[in-house]
Amino acid sequence: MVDSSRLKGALCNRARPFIGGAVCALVAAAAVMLATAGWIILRGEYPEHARKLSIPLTGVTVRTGSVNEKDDFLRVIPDSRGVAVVLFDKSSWFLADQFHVVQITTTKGTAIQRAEWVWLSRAYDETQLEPLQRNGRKFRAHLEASESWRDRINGIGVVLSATTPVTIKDISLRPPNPSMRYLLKRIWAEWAFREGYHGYTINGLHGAGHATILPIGLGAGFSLVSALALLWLIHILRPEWLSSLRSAMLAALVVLWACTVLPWAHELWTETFWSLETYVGKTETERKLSESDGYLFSLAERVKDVLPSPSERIFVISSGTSVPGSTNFERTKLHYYLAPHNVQSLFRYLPKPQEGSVLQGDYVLVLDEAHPSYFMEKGKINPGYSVKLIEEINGARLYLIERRPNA
Amino acid sequence: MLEMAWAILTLCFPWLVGIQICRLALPHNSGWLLTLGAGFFIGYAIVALVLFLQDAWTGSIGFSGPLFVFLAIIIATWYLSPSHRDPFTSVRSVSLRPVSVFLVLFSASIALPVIADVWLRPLFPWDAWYTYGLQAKIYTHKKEIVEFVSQIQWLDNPRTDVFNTYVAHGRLIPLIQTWMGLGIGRWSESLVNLPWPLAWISLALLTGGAAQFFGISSRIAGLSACAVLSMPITGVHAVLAGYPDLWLAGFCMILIISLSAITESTQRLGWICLAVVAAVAAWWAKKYGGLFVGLGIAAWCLSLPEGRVQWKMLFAFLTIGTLSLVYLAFNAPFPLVISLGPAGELGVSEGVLYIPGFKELRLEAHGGGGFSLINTAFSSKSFGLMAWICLGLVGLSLKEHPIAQRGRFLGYWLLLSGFSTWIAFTYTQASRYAKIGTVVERHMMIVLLVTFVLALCASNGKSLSRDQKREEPIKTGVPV
Repeated sequence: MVDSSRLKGALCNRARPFIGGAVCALVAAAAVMLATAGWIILRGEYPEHARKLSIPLTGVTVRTGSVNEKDDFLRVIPDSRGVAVVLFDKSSWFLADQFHVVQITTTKGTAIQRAEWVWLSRAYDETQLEPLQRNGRKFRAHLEASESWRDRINGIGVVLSATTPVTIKDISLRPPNPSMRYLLKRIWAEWAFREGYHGYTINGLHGAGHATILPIGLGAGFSLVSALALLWLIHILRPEWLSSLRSAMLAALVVLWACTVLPWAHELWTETFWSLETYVGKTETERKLSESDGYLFSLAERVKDVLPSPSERIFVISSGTSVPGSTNFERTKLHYYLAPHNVQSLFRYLPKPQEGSVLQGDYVLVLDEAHPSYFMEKGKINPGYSVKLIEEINGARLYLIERRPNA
Repeated sequence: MLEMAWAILTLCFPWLVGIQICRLALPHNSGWLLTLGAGFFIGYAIVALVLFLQDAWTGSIGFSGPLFVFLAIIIATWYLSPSHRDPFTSVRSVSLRPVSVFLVLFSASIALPVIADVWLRPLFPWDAWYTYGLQAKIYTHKKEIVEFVSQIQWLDNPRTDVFNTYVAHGRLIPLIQTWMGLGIGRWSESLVNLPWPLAWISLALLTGGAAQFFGISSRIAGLSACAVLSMPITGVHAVLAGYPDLWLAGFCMILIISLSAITESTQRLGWICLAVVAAVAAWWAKKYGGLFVGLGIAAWCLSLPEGRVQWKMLFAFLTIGTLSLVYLAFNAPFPLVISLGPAGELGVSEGVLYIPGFKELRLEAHGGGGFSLINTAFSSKSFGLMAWICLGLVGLSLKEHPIAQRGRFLGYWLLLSGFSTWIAFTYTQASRYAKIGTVVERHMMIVLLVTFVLALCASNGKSLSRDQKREEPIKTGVPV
């Protein structure tokens, strides 16, 4: 007959170092969070990278009115109704908890009647608005009170009502004054944040976004060192508390490892559920069409139907959102979708115009008012080329080069 | 349904080939985890090589030709491999303890969503569809390994049969996807990526297998395999399939395991063959692989026993010298080609191998731009980081094993250099630590030297003055 109390005691003795190690790990993690927050409060300022997020004034998308982009300022010209809507580079997404104050600096004497800050959060489908309060040349809004300023901010912009053109010199987002409550909440939000997959996910470090004050990997590393030191101290001072230092250390390692792995596992399962909902029961073509770039796939399929053979040379040109010569998603994705055709998507290092690069019988697919290249002049095919419009497909135009200049 | 069956068959066939080759090459006590893990990577390296040679010989690629070659390999290795050298006999002795059950369930909970997502999601990350997938798609459609050049070269020399993309790396990855495409009979954006989750699982098996092989307990070996599976950096490379980094990690790992075992094992030839295949495949997967292979070999040379000091220095100089020359041939303007008259040419020039009897063997496609050894190679995540760190841990854990001292030195060095590289990579990516990352990255050679000295100190200098006591050759590996 087994003595149950002795068995219980033996189990407790075996479990004690593991529980001790796990508790030490959690205590160390909490201490690291508190120490980071305390350090920022003592200094009275955030680390340099987290103090301010400057929004680039180039690569903007204009919805209403027009703009004149310069390196150090942006000139916004309202439409006939006196309204301008400008959206900024979408790649600059961030976590709402990281920044609570937005500030726009204009030049002196700007006649703005009304200014509003707009944004698109992952948590809401609709664009959100917050009026900006004027203070001389500066327009400011505190966003922490807004319910919809949360989760990941995917898009930002500004709506201006003015009778004359407005010159914007700077747009920046700033965190609130550091306080223990805010900082602990922010560190937790950064650790628990689900990024979602995007084109560069594979190149980035999970949990270490632009303005993260304590990346989860680094936090776990500090916590582990602290936990191990704590366990070692306990082992020296109170050896009877820990029957096995090794087991306790192992438990601390496993707990902190789990802390770094669980957010990733959550991300993985969430994305997989999304894939199951989106793709299951569909053919491969339907799956492609249900992607965010389905319109490009559809366009490429239509173009392929029109072309006489599967081995044509095609130049894909568009203005795109990026500067000419740099990577452009639409052009490069079409390059892939149009394969096995021989495509030139003018990826980067765009050379100077060379007519010799083009052969008679090549095709040119113009997606929109194209960027200046050796084909295009003021939004039209260079008059030196003799071209034939083959077809207009979903707003894009497919031309056949019948003769090159000087050919 | 039929397509799915073909996809699974196409997926598993190279693995079977690799397992059979590893059964023949590895010692019988190497363990089933190591055989399964290494078998996968070796199998797929051979698939790419066979497709490459098929194209070089006949001018086209197909599914049935390589299939017959693989069947021949399987049958030949089946007969050559004696039944008593079956590593899988140890599978039967695995006991299902609560820890094992937990590890299996934990691994499954991470592996299942990855497999499901890869199965369903079309090619997703940027380079996967633009750099590697594009080449594979065209190879599959054309049933030929066509020439790819950079965009500038394409514009400079307009021809209808030359294609363009960003082509700085080797062709191993496109050829793996092409194999899947050929097997399925069409270009499928999701099914061609099925080898990626398996590569990820094989990397974990390889880690566990290496740990077991070096005498670490099964429980810790299982934990280390789970650790590899749960690492976000490995998981994201599996679920967003189409990049070469997982493969590079696997090949680097096989190389390091083989090098660690070569001098002590009675089955030296097998280990050498695996090391050669892994080294070539690592280089072919991504050009930085050549550098990592060189570092691994140089580290191994330096850790040879004291009695072999002349050999050590000779090996080290030869390795570094040869790698430098070959790398220059691949990247610098001067060619190393010897004319053999009517027989053809022999040598290497700008990424092309010239061998009599073959058409141009273009190992690397034409790449644009030069090569900055420090800034480019070490800023890449493709260091074979997992291999470095995991093997470092394995090396550190060695205790009573005969190769303990060398393993310990290698372990420290790999761990320290891997960790420094990790800092360089991750902190350069996350702008938070850009400065630290950039400093480490720019001075990576110094970092490697410092970590080398630290590793020497940590291993008490015993790595270079090893076992005087040893009198007879020692067999590596322990029964599982």
